[in-house]
Amino acid sequence: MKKSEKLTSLSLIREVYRILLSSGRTYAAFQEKKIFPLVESLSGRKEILDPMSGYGSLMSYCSKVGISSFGLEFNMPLYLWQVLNHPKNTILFKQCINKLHEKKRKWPRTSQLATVSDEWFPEESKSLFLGFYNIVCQILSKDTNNNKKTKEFALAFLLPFAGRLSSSVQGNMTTHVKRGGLCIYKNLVNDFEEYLSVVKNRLEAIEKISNSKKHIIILGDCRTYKFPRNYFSAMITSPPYPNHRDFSAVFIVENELIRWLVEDKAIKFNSIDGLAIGTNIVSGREKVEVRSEVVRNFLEKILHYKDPKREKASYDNKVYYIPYFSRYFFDLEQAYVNIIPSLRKNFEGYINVVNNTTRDQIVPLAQFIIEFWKRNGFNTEIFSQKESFHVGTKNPRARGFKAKHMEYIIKISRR
Amino acid sequence: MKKETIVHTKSGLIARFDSSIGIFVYSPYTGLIFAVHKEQAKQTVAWLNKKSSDGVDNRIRSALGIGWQNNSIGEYPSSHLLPNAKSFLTILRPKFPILINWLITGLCPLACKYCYAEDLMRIPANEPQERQIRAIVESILSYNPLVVVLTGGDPLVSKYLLKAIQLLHNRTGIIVDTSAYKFDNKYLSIFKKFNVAIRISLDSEIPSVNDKQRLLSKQTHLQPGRASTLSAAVKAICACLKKGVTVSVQTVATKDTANDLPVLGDKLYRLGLHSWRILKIQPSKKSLVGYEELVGSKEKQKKLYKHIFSELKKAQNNRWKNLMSLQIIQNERPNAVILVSPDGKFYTESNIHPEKLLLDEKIPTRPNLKKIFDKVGIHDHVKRYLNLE
Repeated sequence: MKKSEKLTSLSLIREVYRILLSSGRTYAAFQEKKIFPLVESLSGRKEILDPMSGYGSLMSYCSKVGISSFGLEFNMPLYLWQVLNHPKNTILFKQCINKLHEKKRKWPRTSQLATVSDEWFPEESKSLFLGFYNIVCQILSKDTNNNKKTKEFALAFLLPFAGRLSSSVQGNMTTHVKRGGLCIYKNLVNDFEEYLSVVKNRLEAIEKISNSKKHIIILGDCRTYKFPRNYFSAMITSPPYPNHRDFSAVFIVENELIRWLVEDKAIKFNSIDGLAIGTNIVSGREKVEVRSEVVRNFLEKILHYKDPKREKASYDNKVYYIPYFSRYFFDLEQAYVNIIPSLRKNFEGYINVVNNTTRDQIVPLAQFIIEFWKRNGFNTEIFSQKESFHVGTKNPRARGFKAKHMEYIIKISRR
Repeated sequence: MKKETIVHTKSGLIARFDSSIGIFVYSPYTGLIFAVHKEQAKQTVAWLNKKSSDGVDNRIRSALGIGWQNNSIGEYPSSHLLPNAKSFLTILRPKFPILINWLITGLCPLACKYCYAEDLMRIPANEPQERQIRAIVESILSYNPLVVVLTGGDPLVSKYLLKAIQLLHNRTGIIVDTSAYKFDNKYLSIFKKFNVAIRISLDSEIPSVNDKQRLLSKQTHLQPGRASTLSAAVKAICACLKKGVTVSVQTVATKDTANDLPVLGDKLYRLGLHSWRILKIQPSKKSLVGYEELVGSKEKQKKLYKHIFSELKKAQNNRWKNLMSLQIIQNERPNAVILVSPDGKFYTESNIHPEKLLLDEKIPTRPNLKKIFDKVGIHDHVKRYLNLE
């Protein structure tokens, strides 16, 4: 993500949210020009499923077309971003902004200009966040009439701003955020005011394009979630990419805040056990076997990869790369196995993937998907494919083969 | 203006005429030093004395007006040559040093891993007596420096800091370099009263990373409310900003801190800092052992510094220049500096071995000016203080 050239009053908000607030999408989200025509082509269907719904781009396109959507997301901050961007919630959040302006005198303030902490959030910041959170809860409670929903909505509303109060340092990679650092409080109130204005613009933009139908968003794990059986006739989705960066780490600051809020009993969430698909944590995890032939061949090649410049390469293959990719493909298999019973006879879906490279090999994600769905009784075809470079977080300075990315849209339908 | 003497203008800025260059100007509002070309010198001094601004180039007004004409917003140019670098066709060779560093004490609550001054520090016999302070001040001022930096050790632990400031006041610009570990609010009124700019050292915004390089000395006990050397520094920076004391930050870039510096810069900018000075580590006699550990191999060092300094310069040009200056000190020629030890002897760093060189072995406490310029690289001295490195 390119750093903005000018430092605005939003510059202390975390970059991922600055980009989301201005464009609605960021790294690894669907590209509208590719996905929107697919949504339009499925507009005759009752509802479109995205079991790994991320930033909720599909919801946005479905709302634009006027078709219902069903999104399931594992990562809490992404789910809450969808809550904030849900077409049904725009009026509520806009009213909240107006009321917040009326209550400006009650906004929390601090006499400190800055503080420093070893933690994700300094104590002062936690207290300031709770101050804002309580005001927003108070405002929303009049319209939501449901304590749990009020709290969830308040958190969704404030989460993009929360990083402004963190003491973290954004590393070079999007997924690399360091704990501890300076937290600047100077002009906090002005920044919050600016944040409200940007959110308001975003909500108005959503309202403007929305041609809504019913959009369900659920916090859950697609590997275990109990989808309604024989229900969905359409799906557009994209799995997290196996670029051995832990994508969920992009939101580590927000996840830490949520963890603290839950511990502090300020909010209650049904916790999701386990790790996200694609996480790069391998140590201590159970060894898994992948059924796919394509993946087995790929893992075999990884096992024999050698780097003349790095003696440790063979060791790394065994302790990291093999367990990482095995787990990734295993998790994806589990997710698809869990989803299949919910798909109707007339089902048609599209999976958008990118094959990148590792250890001198192409990661055969598209081929794995084709093989898996075929094996499970579906027709598959490559709907489109395009070679592109420098996609994602994996070493943006990579050149040549290492930078190669092949993007595919794979069409799946019942035989 | 009398030749080569220090003049305190009505704006608060301090100027020194130099017949071959024009004027050197020090701003106590920003802690920065500039050279103004001789064609603009006369009208600039008139303007700094709050007379007409006729004929003063806008770039000069923008850079030197900060703090007395245009509050804090102006332009912080990357080169401190005004109106611009192109106006100066020849190498600048001032007749007197621009800046002298006075290590007023060798005592310091910290023992930073890279401290270049360690070989002049912690020698009890060299600590000055009260009666020596005046003599050292007079000796330093005899070279007409535009600025005297009170450093150390940590000047805040010197018993004679106030006395030194009083003696220097109105005769030169004063900067205090400190870790701020021993900072308390009594200094705010002193610094404010005597127009002292303070430079606080902070290497990383992550406490564990900062404190790994900037550790407490074995003799220092952790102070209540100062859990880390970083938190003490940040508290002092905030206190100075609140009271309107000119404060800047100094950062030593190492392999552990360098990559995070652009993000730190954005935060310092938002905090309202007007000056940030980044220094490449300079190896010294006592810190040689850990030097490579801090900067990495020569090859890596070159890559790291090149990349990060270029990123920082871009950030200054694109994001910070209306509110914050960035000075990058590469320390390529160590003999750019003049150091006065706690016992009043004048030194520079050797270019050949990492050690201090006496400037005049016969009269170490008041060296002959010619001898100073024999050993101090005057061109590098100018480059260092006018941000031309």
